[in-house]
Amino acid sequence: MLKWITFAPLIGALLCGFLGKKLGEKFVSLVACGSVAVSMVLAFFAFFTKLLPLPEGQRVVTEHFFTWIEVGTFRADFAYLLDPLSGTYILFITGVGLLIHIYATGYMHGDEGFYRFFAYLNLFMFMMLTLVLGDNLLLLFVGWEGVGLCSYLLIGYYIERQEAGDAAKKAFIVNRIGDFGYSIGVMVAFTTFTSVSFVDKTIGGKLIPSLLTQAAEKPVEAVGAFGIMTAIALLLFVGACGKSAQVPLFVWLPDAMAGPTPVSALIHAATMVTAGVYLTARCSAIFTRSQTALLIVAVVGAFTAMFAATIGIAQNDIKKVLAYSTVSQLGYMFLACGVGAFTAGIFHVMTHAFFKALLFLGAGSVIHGMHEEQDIRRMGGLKKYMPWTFKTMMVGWLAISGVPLLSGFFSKDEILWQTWSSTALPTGLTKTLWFLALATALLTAVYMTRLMVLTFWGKERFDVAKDEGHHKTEHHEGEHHAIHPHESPKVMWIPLVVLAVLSIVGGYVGVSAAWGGSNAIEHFLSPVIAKAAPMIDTAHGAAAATASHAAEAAEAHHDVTTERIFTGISVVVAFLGIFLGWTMFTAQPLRKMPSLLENKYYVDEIYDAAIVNPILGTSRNFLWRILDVKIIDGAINGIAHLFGETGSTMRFLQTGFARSYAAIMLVGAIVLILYFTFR
Amino acid sequence: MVPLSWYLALSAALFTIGVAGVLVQRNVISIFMCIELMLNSVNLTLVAFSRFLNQSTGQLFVFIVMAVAAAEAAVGLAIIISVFRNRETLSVDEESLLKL
Amino acid sequence: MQFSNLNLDYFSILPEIITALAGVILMLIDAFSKKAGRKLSPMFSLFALVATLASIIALWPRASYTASFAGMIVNDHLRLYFALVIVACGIIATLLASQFLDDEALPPGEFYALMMFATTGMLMMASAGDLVMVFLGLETSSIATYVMAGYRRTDLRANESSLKYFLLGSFSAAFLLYGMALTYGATGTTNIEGIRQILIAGKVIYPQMLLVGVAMMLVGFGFKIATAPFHLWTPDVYEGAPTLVTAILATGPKVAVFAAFLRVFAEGLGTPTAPAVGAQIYDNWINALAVMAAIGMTFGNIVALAQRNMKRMLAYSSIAHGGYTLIGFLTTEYAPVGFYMLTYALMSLGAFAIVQMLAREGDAKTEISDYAGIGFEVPNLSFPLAIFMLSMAGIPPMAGFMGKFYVFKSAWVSSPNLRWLVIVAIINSIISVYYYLYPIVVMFFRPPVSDFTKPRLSPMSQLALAITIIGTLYFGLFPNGALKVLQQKTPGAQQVAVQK
Repeated sequence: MLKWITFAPLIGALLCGFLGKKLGEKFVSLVACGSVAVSMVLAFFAFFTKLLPLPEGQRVVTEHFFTWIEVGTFRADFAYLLDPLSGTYILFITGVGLLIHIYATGYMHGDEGFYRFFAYLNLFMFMMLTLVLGDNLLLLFVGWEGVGLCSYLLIGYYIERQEAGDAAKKAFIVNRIGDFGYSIGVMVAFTTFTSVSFVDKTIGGKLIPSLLTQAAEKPVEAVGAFGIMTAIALLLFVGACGKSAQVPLFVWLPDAMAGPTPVSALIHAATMVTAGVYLTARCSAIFTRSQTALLIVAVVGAFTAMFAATIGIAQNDIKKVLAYSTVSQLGYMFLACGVGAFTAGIFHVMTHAFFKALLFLGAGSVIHGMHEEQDIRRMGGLKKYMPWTFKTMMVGWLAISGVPLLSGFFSKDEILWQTWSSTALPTGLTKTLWFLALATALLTAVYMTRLMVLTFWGKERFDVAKDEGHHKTEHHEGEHHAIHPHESPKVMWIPLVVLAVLSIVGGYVGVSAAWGGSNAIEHFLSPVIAKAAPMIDTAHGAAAATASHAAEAAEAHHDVTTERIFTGISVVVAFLGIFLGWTMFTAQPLRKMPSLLENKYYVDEIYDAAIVNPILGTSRNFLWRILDVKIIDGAINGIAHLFGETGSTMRFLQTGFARSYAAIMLVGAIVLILYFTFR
Repeated sequence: MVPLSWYLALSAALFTIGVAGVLVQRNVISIFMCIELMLNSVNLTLVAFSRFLNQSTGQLFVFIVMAVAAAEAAVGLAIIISVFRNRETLSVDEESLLKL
Repeated sequence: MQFSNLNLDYFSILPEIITALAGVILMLIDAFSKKAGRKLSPMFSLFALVATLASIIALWPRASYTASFAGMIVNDHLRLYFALVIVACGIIATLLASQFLDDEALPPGEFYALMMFATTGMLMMASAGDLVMVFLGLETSSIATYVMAGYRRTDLRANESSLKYFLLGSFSAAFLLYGMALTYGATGTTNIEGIRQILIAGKVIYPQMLLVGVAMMLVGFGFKIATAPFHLWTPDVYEGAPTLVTAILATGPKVAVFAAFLRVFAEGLGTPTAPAVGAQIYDNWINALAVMAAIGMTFGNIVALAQRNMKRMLAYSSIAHGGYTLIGFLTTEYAPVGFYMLTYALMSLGAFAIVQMLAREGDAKTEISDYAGIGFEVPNLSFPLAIFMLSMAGIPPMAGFMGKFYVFKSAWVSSPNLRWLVIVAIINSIISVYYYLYPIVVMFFRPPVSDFTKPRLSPMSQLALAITIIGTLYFGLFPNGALKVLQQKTPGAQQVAVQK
């Protein structure tokens, strides 16, 4: 059954890819949405009938498909693992995925690559579900690379746009840097645990406990101690940084907005980019064994959240604002993981999937209604033209800003409180991180308000000359008449409404005890999440058991009043942000933003100058032209002189000559012989 | 009896001459002859070892090397002729259409 | 060598006999009936190759280290596995050859005969138990491929490619031969297992000479597998030769040379615990190989970044792949190298096959820019090419990923002090993504060129393409079968290695 959750979209992808062109849009829509719907039904069925009835603490459903690779002591299977963590993920992946698929049938209507688009999108669903359900690090990697590949195909979907192809390539390559960490991490993990599975496996006749069980038994490495657990955790975190767009590997995500908007919503907001958080939470047993790793995760997360939020304030492309907002929110999730509150991170992943997908789809609806206009400076006053889009996006806006009783409020508040009260990091640091996170919350409210104000309120500013290059479909091209915004078709705004409802109610699974809730999601997830060891104990090298015991005790006794005060602070901050944004941008919508922010701190330019250009330059100019042509041939000239040949020898000052090659081989041979004899 | 080292020194010298020839000669035929010289110097080594180890293996090896060298010569000359037909030159330095 | 115990077991060389005979018959077909030859020759070669395949499988139950022909031929699992891969490469190349020869109007008979002789040489390399046989097999396959490289006789580039390959190939063969001679002199035997026994027993006659000899053999092998600094011929020869020949050069001979390389170095000289010079030799060659591999893959990958010609790019990429494969030598098992070669051969043959189909007559269109926008014009070629590129880049679940992962993982586990090499290799495989993506970007994300016409695809070429694609996906998803085969240990000689 678990395998069919993943395979249903794969079958859909194959049908769309091979038959879609002939059978037309209706067929493709039906197959694509149908396959995801099947997957969703199965996922809910598996979740509620297979997983939930199991007693708490033993909620693990496994399914062996086939033995993928088994050599010696190494084993990795095509096998699936459904537990509270992957269960939560598959629910919102298939749910949000289905809504976005439905939306996309409207959004992509009339596009000549309709079948291709849905083939890729279904393939993505397959890979994403494989990533989440895979029961070992290697199968997870298949999904990991697979979603990267689909993201690559979909970012570069608009073939005729140069920047789309470039963005696609950038995304892929930056992600490969992350994969470098991941690959080495897997190898180190294997040499440490002789297992790469998340469940116990029989390997070569012996029962090997899962790597998570083994990791949990290792001693905690204190800050500054670079042991093996720190190494594994940090290597995996490099991978997570690439996939989840954390500093310094975040640069691909904003560019990835060159893809169609449903793609941005599905891949670059709701699902794929949260894979890094998934990995961190899945391997929480490893991360919690290293306080250095936790510290780095938390700092990177908080810094990214702040950094991206400041950039988000100054962007004018509606999708770019949302992209930086996504980077920023992902930073929040990592901050939560870093302070040991993995469950809060996952909670935020879920609520974020709802409201960010909603915002992106809303943005897509706006772009659609504005005939491919993406610049919010040329919008304004759209609320009367697009009532449904406006109302639903308003929910998303309030949710992400942290307005009480909406989903974003609960998860964000939980992260802020967990950061403040965390015992896993030095006290001074947690307070600083909390302050950063709070400032980010303020900025979030400001830039989201700016986005809404510029788009839906104020005067209409459509008259600014339009950039011809942004036409998507042919029949728009060359038309210069004024823009008449219109509401999107039903098939597009109905998913918006559903997502809006989810954005409102999605937070109630995680209402904290201080507000009378039971924090259901935390209780549900906690059996599969390892507890972080408190800071003080590590000095004495306390065993893991005592550590987690102490953490539990601390949790039970935390001061309800303090937590309520902190909730109050974040509410105040949210309203303050909205108020600031409102007053600033209703008065002067097109106010000039700091150019450093508008240019994204010149990060792209710095990377180009510092990394990309040198490598390419080395390849083209040094290794190829200079080393091969000049240096090597120069050496050959020297040899030629040695043998007393003059005059015309000079002619072979270019390579391509058999004799120069022979000479280089000879040099190599001599070096080898000398090495062998004199070593 | 002449000691083994003399044979080895002679064949090493011949091998070196062959290598040097490959590097400094421009005529393809000369280069090819130098390669043959390298092979034959190895034959000398093999025969010498065979004699001093009192075994037949080395000599057998020499026969096979000679057969291979003959085949190589046949193919090599054919390639050279076909190149000459197209270009009417035997200088290896003219052969530089393909570059890095 | 003991002539009293020749053990003339003809069954054990059945594969070589079949291919050699088939080569002769193909020449006769060509001599007597040029016309019928065009149809008959490919069919006959296919038949012969399938028979060879069957004979290899028939030999499987007899796999053991019992050396026949006075130790010249070894029929163990290493030999049989590599022979299987070599013949598979031969079959795919033969399937592709008929369209190539038809399109270019080249004489067919000789080509198939040459391919048979080359295959014979490669099979000999895999089965060699003696340095003499290694040399003989190497030269047999080389001489045949020298001719094939210049098969387009009137083409200047093909001429040059052939000449360079010939001159440099014989030059390097002389080094190899000299190395073998010195090794023989130093140990008193040319038998590889014999050399091993002498090293273990510590009875090397002239240790210094052995060191020089091994170094020179390394030069010869290094040339054939095209690793730095002996790789320089590769791009020129690969670019100049007709694309199909390039495909053959890049796969079959390379697989075979790796088999012989494993036999001589990993088996004969793989003596880390032998007394005195034995351990030193092992230490030396393993370190030298590690450095050569690191330089080779880095050089190959970085220079490939600057290439704009598909064949040259693939040539540099094959240098890089040679480097990755060498990492498998750190494990003293043949499984990682064997599996990597299998995956590499499949994706290389597939990629070159598509390049050949798109190149048209005289290899006119091999620049990557010639592929602009063909993605959706010829999806039956562009998607497979994309798969091969991704597989070479090491993206799961393609076979290339499995091959890389297996090699890297094995080396990582088995030799902790050479882990830097694995890290270098992983960095390299990340750099390589950049240029493997380039053809994909050009094919799918660029506006199409106007004068593009769909290339013809004969049923045989389609079959070859299908085999390579299915293989590339199959060994990525279900590598276990092949790995199980590779895990089979030959009773006898290799157990000596384990016990030590």
